[in-house]
Amino acid sequence: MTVTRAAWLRQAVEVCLVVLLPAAIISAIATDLGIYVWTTVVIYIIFAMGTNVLVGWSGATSFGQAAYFGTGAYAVALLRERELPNEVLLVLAVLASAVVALTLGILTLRAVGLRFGIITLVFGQLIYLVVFRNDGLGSETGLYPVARSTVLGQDVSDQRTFFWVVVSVLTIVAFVLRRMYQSSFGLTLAAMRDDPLRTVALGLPIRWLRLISFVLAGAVAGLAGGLFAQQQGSASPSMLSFALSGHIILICLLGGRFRFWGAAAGAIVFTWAEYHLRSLTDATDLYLGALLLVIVIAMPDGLAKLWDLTTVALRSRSRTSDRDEVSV
Amino acid sequence: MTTAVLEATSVSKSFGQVHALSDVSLQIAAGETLGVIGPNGAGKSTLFGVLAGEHRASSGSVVLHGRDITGWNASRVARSGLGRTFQVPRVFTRLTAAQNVEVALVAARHRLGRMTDNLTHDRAMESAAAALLDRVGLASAAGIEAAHLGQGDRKLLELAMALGRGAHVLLLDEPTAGMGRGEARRLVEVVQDLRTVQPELAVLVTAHHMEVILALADRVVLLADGAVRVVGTPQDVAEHPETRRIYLGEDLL
Amino acid sequence: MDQLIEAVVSGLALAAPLFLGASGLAMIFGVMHTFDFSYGALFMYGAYLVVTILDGEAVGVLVFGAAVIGAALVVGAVAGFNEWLVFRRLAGREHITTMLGSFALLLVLTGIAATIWGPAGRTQAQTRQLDGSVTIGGAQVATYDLALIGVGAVVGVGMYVLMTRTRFGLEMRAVAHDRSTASALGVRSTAVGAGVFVVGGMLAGLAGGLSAPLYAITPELAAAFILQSFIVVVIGGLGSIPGAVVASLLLGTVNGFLVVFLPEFSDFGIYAVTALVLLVRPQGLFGLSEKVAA
Repeated sequence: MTVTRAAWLRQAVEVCLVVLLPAAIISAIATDLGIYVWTTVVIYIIFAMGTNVLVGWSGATSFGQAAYFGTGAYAVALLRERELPNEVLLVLAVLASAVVALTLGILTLRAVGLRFGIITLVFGQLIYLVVFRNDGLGSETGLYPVARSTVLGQDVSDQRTFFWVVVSVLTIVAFVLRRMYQSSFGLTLAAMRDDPLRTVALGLPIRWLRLISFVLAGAVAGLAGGLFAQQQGSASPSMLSFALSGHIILICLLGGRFRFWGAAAGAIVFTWAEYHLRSLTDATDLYLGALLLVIVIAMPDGLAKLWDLTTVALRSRSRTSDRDEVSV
Repeated sequence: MTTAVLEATSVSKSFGQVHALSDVSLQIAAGETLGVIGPNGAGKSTLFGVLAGEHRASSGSVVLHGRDITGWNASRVARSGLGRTFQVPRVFTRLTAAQNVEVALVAARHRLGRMTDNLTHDRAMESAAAALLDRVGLASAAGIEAAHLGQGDRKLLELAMALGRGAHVLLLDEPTAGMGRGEARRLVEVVQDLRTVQPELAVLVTAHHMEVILALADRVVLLADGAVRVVGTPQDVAEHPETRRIYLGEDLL
Repeated sequence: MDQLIEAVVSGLALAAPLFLGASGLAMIFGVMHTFDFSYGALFMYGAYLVVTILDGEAVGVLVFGAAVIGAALVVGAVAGFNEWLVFRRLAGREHITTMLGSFALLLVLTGIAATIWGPAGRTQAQTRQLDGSVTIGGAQVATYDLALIGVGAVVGVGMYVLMTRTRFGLEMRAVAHDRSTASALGVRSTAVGAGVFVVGGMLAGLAGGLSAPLYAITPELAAAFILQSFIVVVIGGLGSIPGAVVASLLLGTVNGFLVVFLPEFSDFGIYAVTALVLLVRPQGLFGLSEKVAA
């Protein structure tokens, strides 16, 4: 059907424009240090977009997403001796975190809202402690060194090359998520978020929806984690910490969780803010906390509010089919 | 005797010590509209809850299209063709009216919603949703976020959603509650239109306004203290001495 | 045998500040229906205030006691301020939002502490008369542990009296049960809410002050304490103070045993127990039912 093919194309073009164009500009003008930070930014974008499937699309705030990010990182680190190409390595990282997410997802299925936040926090801490205490996993110091595996047979250890690897992964992930967001599956998640009771009354299997979005979020987090281990050259318990889980939620909220690209915007602003704050002061958390406080109290929609103000004039008045245009 | 499309037999429901329903039986046939009336606390909402699968009957059975649905959960009952609106309308506030209906259409079509389709650009879905909105008189509200719709419009939207879901049996829980005269009349007209467009539709409606019942119902059931007291045509029930006693207190004669 | 007594006593002594902290948190949950992360920072401030007032020096019981009470009052005031600044503004929102706000507040308060006192740790010397140990049934038991158990018991009784015999306690329980009905009946819900935070804050400050001689006092204390109290409250049942008592006794004792007999498993074991409880009985041992916590 021509309509479907045109839609595919439109989504692909949109994703490429939003991701590849800025990436090209950044690659051209950034310093070596800048490129390093930007690589981390892109990895966090992937992590955040995955997390937002839960926080933004489904309205389920999980306080333990770092568990999947860390699982991906440790999976890659544990396999570092095997000299596997990245194509295989990352798939394994995704599988590992998906399995963990599936297990925990099933266990936490009955919890909603606050209880869900609590139980995901507890499980996240549990995983953190298991790894922290395990000598085989490197205890406090973690596992290192983790080299950057080949991509399509090429060596990608050069930072600028690795940046493009990460950007390519983001492009693929963003495209897949974009399609899901605009699919009927995405709509049912939005419905579930708005009114679970109503969703059930329409006969939608709400538990399946929650489980699928949980596993999806975990898998994407694992992918980001697998890349991060290669970026840092190590896997350490801090990648499983409650602090990271908290930060990634902050990122989703910061950018505007009801917008598709919100998590990406949040990751960019947050990572750079944190980077600059760290060099200026010891009390980074103070400012990050204050930022989160302002967002939570005054700007629940995060930066999306600003985006709205600047683009409202540019949008046509045609049918608002894209949910991005109707968030509160 | 036409075969009943929905049949409740000796349904009782207790919440601990509170006996909300006692031995309630009723049948509704395809194309029929059954009104359920009764004073507050009579058990109307509980009855709806049991029929829709939100509560499990303590005893008795519920049969839909010949299948025993007693004990089925709400989701399963909804998938079997029973749609329901709520006394305080529940709609998806962050979605547009059209999207609300689309959710119902999606629910009817797939169990889960496909990850691979492209709903946002699906013209067929768009027109199907628009058609349903038109049927309930909300065509102009298609692009409006549900949060911005008034109570009356939300009730109509719920109706459109139930239809989008493909309900053969509609449970309308106090559809005109809190509405002004004009809005209530509009809703009644919509339901009446529906009955001509979808003659097989069975409707169960509760209301406090007798006019609504008189306008819509073919038969009426009077519930009080969880039990069926009177059954008959609206006229019969309205004039029945038992009805007067229940609503007005002891007979003044 | 003496190891057993050691384990039990140290467990009970661990339970005392746990209980103090957790009951305040449980109280706050009961009224706010949400989990307050910033509570951990209040504990930390209690410890910091005591060490600042006493300048880390060993002092007599009365002076120490006065310092602790003073710290508790100040922290109570800080908590009241927090309620006004943050929690009141998040009043009508989803519970998870308030939880996030409290997390943000935790970060801010921890950051402020790091700025005021610096990242290096401080220590508080043990109070003179409470230093040393006592022999019970052949086991060496720290005098301070006994003091903690004593204080815990006294505060526990005090809390019971507050909740059941005072007007404030009655209003608190009314608001916890159904805020709008309580308001309709003339209970000043906002004032009650603020009062709960203040009392809870005082309990946290008290727990922190009393714990000052026991740990190195660093900004990390906040996170450590809140996670610990979090577990107690979750196991005991969100919103339930008797639950907090039982859970802190349980956890304190379990921890006491683990530390003596199986030290490598202490923190992991606690979380595993918590996860298990959450799976089997999501509302905790004494918890309020589903509708409160959604």
